[in-house]
Amino acid sequence: MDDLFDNWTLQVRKGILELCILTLLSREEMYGYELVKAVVSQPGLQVAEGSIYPLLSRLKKQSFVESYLKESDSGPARKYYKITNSGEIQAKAMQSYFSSLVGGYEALLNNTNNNDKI
Amino acid sequence: MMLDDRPWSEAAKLRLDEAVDIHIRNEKLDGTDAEELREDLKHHVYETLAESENEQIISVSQLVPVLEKMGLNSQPKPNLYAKAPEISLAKGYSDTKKSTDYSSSILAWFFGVILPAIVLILELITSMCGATFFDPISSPIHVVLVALVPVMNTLLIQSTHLDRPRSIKIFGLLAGCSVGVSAIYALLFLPMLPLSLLAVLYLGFGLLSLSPIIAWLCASKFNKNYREKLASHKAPLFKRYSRIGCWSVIALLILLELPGIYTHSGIRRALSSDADTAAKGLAQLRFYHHSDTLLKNCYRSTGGNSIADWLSLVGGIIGLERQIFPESETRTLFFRVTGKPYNSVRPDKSISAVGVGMGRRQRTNFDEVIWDNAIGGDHVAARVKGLSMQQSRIDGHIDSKSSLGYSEWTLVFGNTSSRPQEARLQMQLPPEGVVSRLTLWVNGEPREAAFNSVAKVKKAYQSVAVIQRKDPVLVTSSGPDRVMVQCFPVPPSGEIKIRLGITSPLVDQRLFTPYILEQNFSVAKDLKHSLWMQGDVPITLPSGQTSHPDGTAHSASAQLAKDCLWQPDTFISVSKAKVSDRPLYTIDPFAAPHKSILLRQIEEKPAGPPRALIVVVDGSVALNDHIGWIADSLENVEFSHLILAHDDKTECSVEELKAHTFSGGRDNAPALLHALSLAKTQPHSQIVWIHGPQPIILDSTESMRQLLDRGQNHPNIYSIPIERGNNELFNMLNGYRCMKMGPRLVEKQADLARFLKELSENPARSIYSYSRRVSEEGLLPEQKVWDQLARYWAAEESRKGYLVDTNDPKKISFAAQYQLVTPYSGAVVLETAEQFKEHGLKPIDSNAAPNIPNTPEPTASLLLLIGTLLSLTRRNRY
Repeated sequence: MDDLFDNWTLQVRKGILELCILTLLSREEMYGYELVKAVVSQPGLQVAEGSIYPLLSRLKKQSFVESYLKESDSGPARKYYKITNSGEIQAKAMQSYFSSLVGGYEALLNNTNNNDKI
Repeated sequence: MMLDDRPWSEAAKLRLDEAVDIHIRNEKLDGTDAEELREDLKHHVYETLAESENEQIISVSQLVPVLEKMGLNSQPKPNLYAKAPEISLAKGYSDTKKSTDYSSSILAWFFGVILPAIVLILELITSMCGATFFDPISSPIHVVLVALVPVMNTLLIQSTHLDRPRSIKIFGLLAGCSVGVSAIYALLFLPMLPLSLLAVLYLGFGLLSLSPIIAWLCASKFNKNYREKLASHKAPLFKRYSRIGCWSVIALLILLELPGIYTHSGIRRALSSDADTAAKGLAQLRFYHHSDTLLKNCYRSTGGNSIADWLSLVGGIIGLERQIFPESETRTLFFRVTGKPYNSVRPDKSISAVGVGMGRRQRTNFDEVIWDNAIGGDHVAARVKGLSMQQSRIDGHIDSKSSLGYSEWTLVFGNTSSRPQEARLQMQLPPEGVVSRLTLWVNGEPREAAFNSVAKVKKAYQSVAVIQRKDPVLVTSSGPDRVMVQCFPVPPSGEIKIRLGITSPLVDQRLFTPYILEQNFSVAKDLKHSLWMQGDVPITLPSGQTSHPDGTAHSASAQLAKDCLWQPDTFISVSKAKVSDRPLYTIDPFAAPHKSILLRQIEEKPAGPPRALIVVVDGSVALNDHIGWIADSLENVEFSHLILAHDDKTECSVEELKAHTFSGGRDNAPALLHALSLAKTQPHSQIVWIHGPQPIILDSTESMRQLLDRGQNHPNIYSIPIERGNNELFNMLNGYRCMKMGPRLVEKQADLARFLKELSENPARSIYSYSRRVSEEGLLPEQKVWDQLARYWAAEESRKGYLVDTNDPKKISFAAQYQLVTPYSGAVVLETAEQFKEHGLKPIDSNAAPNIPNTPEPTASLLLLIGTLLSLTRRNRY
């Protein structure tokens, strides 16, 4: 039972994390640490900070995000990430699908509740 | 990189590296992706720690919570993508590979260590690959490098299993060398991969040829495993040194093969059908060539390729370029590049042609080819393994009265190989010498030869020797004053003994010895050339030894160094000849009774008109060391043309000749043709050809034959070889009597200058004239000489006429009757009387064969003299 749950949450989080990163970056360019903190600060996501960087690396490899170095006042240059045009398109498509997915699930949940009431 | 200035404890640094390494490994990233992730993760850690500046030093206790928060604990719970293995921070190694199971370890040992080691040992013992494809371990350096692969694989496997720390730099360097060596050999064996796979799949063998590729895969894998097992701070160092080792050894192997590859490229260009490319290729090889590679290609049919040969062969197979060079072409090229006949150079031990199962010990003794494909042919060809001259002796007699000598050269050949071999040599006879006896020992008994037409004796020899494999010996004329000697079979682990009798005149009171122009056998290291000579007057041997009285004659003996076998200026000198102006006579044993008395008289030939000399000088490298004295000899001689033969023809002055750079082996035919054309237009012209070896005919000789065949003006062409070696061009024109041997040069410059002067001035000189008589009446006993005079006369008679017609029955019959080897006739000894009969031959009676005269004891001579006087006195009383 626990294994099934663990795997299931793993798969769900894996999919949604990429959407989260693209969504955050579509709003503004962020440096790695800032981006990670922004993601992990969301209570429901429950991801380890170290898990974000491999995802960023993969998104970068797929050309959905780009990185560049920018001088920092408080130390060495920081690596900033920004979303690319294809990343924007991808993010919108993912958001749309996720909304419809959540919508579908909610509709399913509502129908079930109604049936229970009947 | 760090965001604050606080120092880190070593443990914390190590902990961070370990954690990051494990995370990266779990993410299955490598290369730049891995490095980028490492940087990102570390940067994240630094940022996190910078926010909590409450300690003076970053310690493990401070780091661990950060790592845990990041999911980078060294003993993490399952993260998003993979399960991280455990690490041991106490050692410099991780324990990730400790779980390698036993079965894979067995395979690793077999394919990575045992198989390559077995293959190396097998190759060292049997030379299997060396004989079939190419020699992968042609030098000790190659052996060491190949042995490094199983050794390093052993150490890498052990290190992976035993966690034994090693010197990272040295270990990395050696491990890299192992990968580099195995990679190169895997590439070399790659062309055999399809065949090897098929052989393994369908026949169950072929693993040996696959082993280099498997060894490379193993070496690479072990190298990687070892690197991954290292702590993160050591892995890059190991990797760096491993790369250095790998590329260094690859560079070394390439460097070792570079001269061979360069030479191959030169050969390919030089043998191109395009004339310009061929000329450039020839120039390239003359500039530099790897002698072994060039020579090895002259023995192509014997197998035993070098790595460069193999690369060349594979290149040819996959259609990159023409790579299989015919032996005949490379042998020609060898001469053109080096100026030496290919078979005059002893093949180097390291380039040996080998046979499967021969083994390296035998290989190191290699100096000749194994398979002789010239048996029964007309050429001496390549040296044959196991065949050697074991003994050599010359016995002879000089008769100063007739100014003739008779020498018997006895040769014993040995064969240490397991197959019968044919011994072949081309022999230069003394000036105007002729072979007048041939003997073969069969079962310890001397058997005399049959003399008959060249065609008939050759046919008998080929039939009996090559087909029936019995015991014959054949001697035929191969050029002016030279003969080809062939005997087959020299039995395995046995010997053959032959004897050649040679009749020759004295030249300036010297009897020159015959010498070997070329041979297909080696000569025993400790061989001494035994010389025993007697004369009717005191003589001096080449060693400087003077004769002592021996009976009524004088004799001397000496053990000469084997170098004498090849030296043209070896001679026995006669201190004071008994030559008189009175006619000499002999009883000709071969003539009809009514004209058995052969009388020789000396006549004075008046001076002739001066001759125009055309001198042709070979441009080959052989003349490089001699051009000084040759030019000096030419300084005081009148000549009409001086032509330099350098594949082409250039008329030049003596100064220009001196300044010329002699290189390679040059085709002399165009220059000789030019000289002949000039001589044809100038009456009384003579051509003097000063040259090195001409072992091959480079140009078409039909134009020369045409000039020799046509017209009435036939100038002589005198050949003066400066260095020992075959002269195919000269031999090919053997049928033309205008082709003559020049003098043997003892005092080189003086002799050449004298010869040129006499030839040019054409002064009065003494010549012999012969006549026949019925009886000895009126002739004095002291006028009588030995019957060698008859043989010499017959040899001179055989030389008459401009063109040799080898089918002329009269000439053949005459030469055979006098038991001489001439362009018309040859000599053959067969094993049995039946064989002689079967081939229509009749061996001579041993009593009719020439002999070295026995000189009686002084007392016996005295008795003989008294007896003769008494009989004369008694006759006078009637």
